[in-house]
Amino acid sequence: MSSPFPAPAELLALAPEIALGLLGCLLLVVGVLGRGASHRLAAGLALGAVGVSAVALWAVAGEFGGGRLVLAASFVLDRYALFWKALVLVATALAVVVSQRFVEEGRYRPGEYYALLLLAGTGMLLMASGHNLLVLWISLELMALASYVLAGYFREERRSQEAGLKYFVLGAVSSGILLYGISLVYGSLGTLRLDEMAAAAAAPGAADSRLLAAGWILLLSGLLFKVAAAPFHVWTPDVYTGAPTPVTAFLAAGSKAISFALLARVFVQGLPALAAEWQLLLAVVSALSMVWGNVAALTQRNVKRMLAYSSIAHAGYALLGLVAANRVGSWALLFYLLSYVFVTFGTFAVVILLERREYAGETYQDYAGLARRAPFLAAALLVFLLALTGIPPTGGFVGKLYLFAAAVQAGWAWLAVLGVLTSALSLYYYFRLVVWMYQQEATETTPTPLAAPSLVGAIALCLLATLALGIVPGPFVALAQAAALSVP
Amino acid sequence: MESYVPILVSALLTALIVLGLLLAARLMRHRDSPLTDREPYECGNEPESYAHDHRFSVRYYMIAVLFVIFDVETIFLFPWAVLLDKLALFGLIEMVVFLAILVAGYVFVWRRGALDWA
Repeated sequence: MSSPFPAPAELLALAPEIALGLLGCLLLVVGVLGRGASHRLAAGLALGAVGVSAVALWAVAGEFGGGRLVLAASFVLDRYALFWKALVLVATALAVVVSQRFVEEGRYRPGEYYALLLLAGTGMLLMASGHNLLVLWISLELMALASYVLAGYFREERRSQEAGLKYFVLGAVSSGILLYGISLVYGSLGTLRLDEMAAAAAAPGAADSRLLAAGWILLLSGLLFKVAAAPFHVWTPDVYTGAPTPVTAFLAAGSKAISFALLARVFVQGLPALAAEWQLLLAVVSALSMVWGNVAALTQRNVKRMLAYSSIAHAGYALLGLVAANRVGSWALLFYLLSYVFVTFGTFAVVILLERREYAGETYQDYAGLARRAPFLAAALLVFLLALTGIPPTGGFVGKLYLFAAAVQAGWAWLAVLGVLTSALSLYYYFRLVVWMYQQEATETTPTPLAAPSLVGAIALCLLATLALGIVPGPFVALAQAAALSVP
Repeated sequence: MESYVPILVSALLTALIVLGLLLAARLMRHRDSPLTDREPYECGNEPESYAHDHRFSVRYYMIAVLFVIFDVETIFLFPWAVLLDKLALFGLIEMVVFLAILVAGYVFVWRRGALDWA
């Protein structure tokens, strides 16, 4: 008789998640024992936890790298999962670094804050390898619950409270929709496992089921909410603006990228039989996001809000990779999001350096004369904005190039044209900021950027990654190609 | 379609019963005390004041939330205890892990002062 319980060796595949989650709980407890951990200690512990998890990931990658299903096939370790896990750990580490100043200045309990970051990171790690719809849903919730609290962390500030509450209410609704979709998909295919789903949906007649159609459309809607694609984007500007900026960076980079990973896995691996249908729907969503995000960003006066709309537009670009999930699209998506994570963190790190309490330093005017006062910061921000627009020599350019090429190759030329046109539009609002930095003089009310070595270090790292991805994309493309999942 | 008939019947019956009860209450209730009818808690005593005139301590809410969390924990323990001989060592370890995570949360709320009343 085979035991229903997993062999302990199978649990080893979860070592990175276990390490990060356990150390997160430990940090929570350490943070309240005695006089509590100091800011430096808590941040150090959090970075250490990410490091331990990274070592575990490295060990696991050697052991299970070839692609393995464990724990009753609810958890998969393939190159795709490893790619995303590595990216999640980078994003979590960057989030810890850029959060330090916010936590210290607000005199928050550091243990609590970093523990929430680590737990959100644990959820993201699990999302990268879920191979069962319920496991995917629970890991998504683990990430989301921690994010809701983080979004409202700036407790005294009404806008942050609003962000937390809005994110929570809308997030809960979308999770409900997602769960309903999962239940309908289960009802029509009789399984929650992605590989069995693919087989069941490929059976003759299965794809015509209306129950299945309702199920996958709801599933898609719930996930599109998480990646902030139009028309499921309404929460994004308010949450991104109201949440503390380090949290915004974490949401915009980490949470968005990993939600894309989940979306791609569920649809590419679980429902390839219906690819023509969901790709059509995603093409519409992608077009809407590109147009709406870019047009709405034109009129913003708050930099964080502009970046929120720009992130909606970027969700639209990234969706091109799924719309064209032929060979090129599948890995272009990975490459694009890889570059997007670094660019987003870099941009928000510059915003953080200019911020004061009460959200000062968020309007375009606050960037006046930055080029003279802090040449490195201005130059770095310039590169990040080039990358966001999609201009060489940055990773953003290479990513967009591959995405548009993939769309054309898959016969979606009009979408690619729309993407190029909206990118041109985005030049206006990104470069308005550049004009402020380089061609205006600072006034007395302009905030001076902080001298925070760790933040400047994070910006330098992101800058390096953005340029490396743009100038020598070869190795990263190879990495993305090896990790990609494509519709057969 | 036929399989949905019982659901329809049940929905109709439910609607009938609800409407019937409301109607019966309307026909049979006393009409002698129009004021006390509208009290939030109609229990014979006149309330001292109204709930929305007061501010309540957030602690009531905290305690309620914590109660729910630890109550759910207990609910998980029951089926586990019943099946312990089948779940064997694995089940025991699993439950220890579960409880350890909860204890971490418990230590956190305790030390953080969520259980202090004063």
